[in-house]
Amino acid sequence: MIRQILATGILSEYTGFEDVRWDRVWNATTETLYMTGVSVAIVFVLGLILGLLLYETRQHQTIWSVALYKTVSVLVNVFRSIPFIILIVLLIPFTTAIVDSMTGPTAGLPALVFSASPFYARMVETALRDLDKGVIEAAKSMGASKLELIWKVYIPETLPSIVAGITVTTISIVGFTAMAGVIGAGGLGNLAYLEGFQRGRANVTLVATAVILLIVFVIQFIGDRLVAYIDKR
Amino acid sequence: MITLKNVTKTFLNNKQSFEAVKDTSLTIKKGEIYGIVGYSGAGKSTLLRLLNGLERPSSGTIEIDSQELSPLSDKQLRKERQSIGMIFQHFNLLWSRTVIDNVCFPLEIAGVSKDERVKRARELIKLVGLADKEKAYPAQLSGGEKQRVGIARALANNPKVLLCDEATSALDPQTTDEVLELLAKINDQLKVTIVMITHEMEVVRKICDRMAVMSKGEIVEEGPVLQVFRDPQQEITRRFIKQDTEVDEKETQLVLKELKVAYPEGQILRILFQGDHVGAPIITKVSRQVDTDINIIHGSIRSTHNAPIGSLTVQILGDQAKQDKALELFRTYPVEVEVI
Ligand SMILES: Nc1ncnc2c1ncn2[C@@H]1O[C@H](COP(=O)(O)OP(=O)(O)O)[C@@H](O)[C@H]1O
Ligand SMILES: [Mg+2]
Repeated sequence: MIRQILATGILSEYTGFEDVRWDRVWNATTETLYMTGVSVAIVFVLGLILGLLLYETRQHQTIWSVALYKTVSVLVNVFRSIPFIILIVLLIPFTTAIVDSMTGPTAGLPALVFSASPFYARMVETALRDLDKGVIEAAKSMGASKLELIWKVYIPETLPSIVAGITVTTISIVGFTAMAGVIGAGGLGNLAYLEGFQRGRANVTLVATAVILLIVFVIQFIGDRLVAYIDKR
Repeated sequence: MITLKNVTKTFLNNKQSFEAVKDTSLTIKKGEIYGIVGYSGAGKSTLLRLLNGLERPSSGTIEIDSQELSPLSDKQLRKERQSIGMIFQHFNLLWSRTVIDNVCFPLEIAGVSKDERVKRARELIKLVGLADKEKAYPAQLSGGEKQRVGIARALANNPKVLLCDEATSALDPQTTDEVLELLAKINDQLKVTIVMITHEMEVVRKICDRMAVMSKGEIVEEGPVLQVFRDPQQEITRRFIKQDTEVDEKETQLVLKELKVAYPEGQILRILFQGDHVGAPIITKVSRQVDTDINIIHGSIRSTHNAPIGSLTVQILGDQAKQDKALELFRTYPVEVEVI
């Protein structure tokens, strides 16, 4: 099998990197990092707030809480279930309304945020639900207010899960940026598609893949290290 | 110090109401160690949570240090809670904080300045005997050490009351004794009123002054520990006392059986002494006065917070008349006598 592939020369397309335009690779990389960085920052804050909201409203039996929980929960589930590529298309009118131009890395942000926040919010909610009820009771018995509970108990005590969750989310966002690239949001996905595929330069695709892998490995490494450092359990 | 008047707590679960605490009235005095025993599900934890306002009563009133809890707003109640410490069966420490930062937690909530916090926390950590573990994380501590941190944390804001929810139930006997000793020391030195709930009679016997027995949401028996041990009124109380003496009970029963076979005519009595009478030579006196032999089958002595309680199982030999006379004589002494 392998010998056949070699014999037919398919792999020969991947030799020689003279025609790879490194400035474009560099450009695409910064675009990917920009899209990932900005959307992760937004997703982190939004997901944390949504996760806390889900957790808090779930516990209470009042009509408002139940209604709020149901609403947020349905929205989260819907956005989490829509395939990313479809979500991009769905959000085109919204995106043009808020970002003006439909191309460029910034145009990828709304879809990235909409699809990753619900995903992360659920992770945060799960982490909070795994939190030891006794510790919450102890903090309440010491007179902690809701805000103090959130800052001094919920977040610090679930921090390893919060960080592990954002690591996983970031990695899937990197993947999403590649898809967003295909519809013109720039980045390494765009490079691989336009330069690599449409112009038949397989090497460019290979380089784009390698850079994305590198980014993912670095994120995973940092995430794992961070979790190990903060987890004192 | 703590007064409960006709307190009832009803929970609503899936449209079904359940009375966890029923029409309970209770007075706990300043500076005493008060124990509440009961089986799991009796409503002890709910009762304790009513005392610091984590639960609000469905009816009735709760007063702590002449401050009634029910009219307080949530905010005032949170403030009030800062003067009521609480420790737990599973310690409930924040694993993300070091020992000293755990002790600082209630001080942060109370708005104490950083320097003051550290100073106060160090004092407390020293008081509970963990000075060398200040920078450790809870995961690095043993159960007994964790509970010491829990105690230090509960004392941070100089509480008037310390509530203990099964504080020793997750600890081995040796560690239990150490923690109980620490609690007794705190009660003595800081004059903190302590309310302990537990399912172990041993705990109540060792450090409580007064006690209550709780069953199915109700206080079924109440009084000074010595009195309850000497003269339990309820079947459930007897069961708890028996559980405390269970260890040697089995062997005693075995010996009793053998003795009954060997001396079928002898009468077996159990005599309970307390306090000052533990040392009195009652057996010899009765033996001499009736002029008969008395076999000592089993004897034990247990410490309580206030005075020791002793128990003797004896066999009176001789004819019926002598046995009756001896029994009568025993009853003239300030001891409890039970014919087995
Ligand atoms: N928040 C609650 N909602 C509904 N039922 C509760 C709640 N808290 C306690 N209960 C019920 O009240 C009863 C007494 O519980 P608890 O006070 O924890 O007993 P104990 O501490 O003596 O074991 C149990 O049957 C328990 O299921
Ligand atoms: Mg309990």
